Amino acid sequence: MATLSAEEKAIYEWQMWLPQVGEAGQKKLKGASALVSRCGGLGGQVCYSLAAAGIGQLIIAHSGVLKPSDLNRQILMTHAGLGKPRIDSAVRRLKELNPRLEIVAVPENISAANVEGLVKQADIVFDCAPLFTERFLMNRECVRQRKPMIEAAIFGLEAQITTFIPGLTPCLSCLYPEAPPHWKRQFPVLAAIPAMAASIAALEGIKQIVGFGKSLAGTLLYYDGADISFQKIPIARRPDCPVCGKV
Amino acid sequence: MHIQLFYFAQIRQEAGTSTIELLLGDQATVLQALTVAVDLHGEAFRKLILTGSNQLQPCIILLVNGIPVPEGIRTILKNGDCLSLFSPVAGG
Repeated sequence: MATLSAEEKAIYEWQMWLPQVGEAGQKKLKGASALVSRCGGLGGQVCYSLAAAGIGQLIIAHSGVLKPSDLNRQILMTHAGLGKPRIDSAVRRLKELNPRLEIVAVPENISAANVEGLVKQADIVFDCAPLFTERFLMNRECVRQRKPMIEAAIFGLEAQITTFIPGLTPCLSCLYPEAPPHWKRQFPVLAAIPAMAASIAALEGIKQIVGFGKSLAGTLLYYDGADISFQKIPIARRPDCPVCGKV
Repeated sequence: MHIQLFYFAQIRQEAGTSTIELLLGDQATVLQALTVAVDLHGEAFRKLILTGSNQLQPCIILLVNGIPVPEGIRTILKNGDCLSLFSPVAGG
């Protein structure tokens, strides 16, 4: 198990006061590695929360350069980064917060070519991608490698979050057997919505790593920011699921 | 009988409203409720929730009174039931 330096003990003192975390939990966080697919409105906040909490390693996969329309929600980006690779800005901001954090920066999105290797390096996966092709690729690989995947997604003022644990819970393909034919790459979004979804997702991941609390496994958390309403929807495995049906 | 439909995500956007109330005959099914909703909201809404053969699109989550129903769109409704329709989202 990882050991904590005097500096780390000082930084994480207040969260180690939580009986559910303590020094043992903090060591588990330091020893953990998380893959975050994309570091935009959702993934950026997930990375930031995990970095602040003291996770040992982040593997971040995100291609492309920063555009003006990213700046309304992508908190790891800065105005000065316009036109430059988003992954560079993400690494810089995270290192400013937590210079002890080890970051594997991957300037690519999740693809069939890289998904196996990236999931292999991680203990847990955070799915924050805007495209279902990437989400389904990660889901399949997480099931194959028996890695938990925290699923967070938003649309407008609404968000959906759940935790997939291969063999125990439904997987993404149980929930959505097919990609929705009408999904569009561009969608309405206000920063506070993905930030809130990402905070819940990060907490779900920390609970998985440290091992406390009751997770969203088997439950889809839906919230509507328009009236701040929450709904917990039970979700079930599909016995005929082509991805996890035999796990 | 009175039935309330709640829409979420893209379905809400396509319907242009988050909820509607329907007046249906006794023993009406979920499909009958959805058919009335389609008449109100139009073809794009229909394509979002139903297949060409009037089955629920596989990616749509349907709840009756907050609970998934094993009978799906063949579920017989009761007065006061609330139907919820969720479409998948992936945004970040």
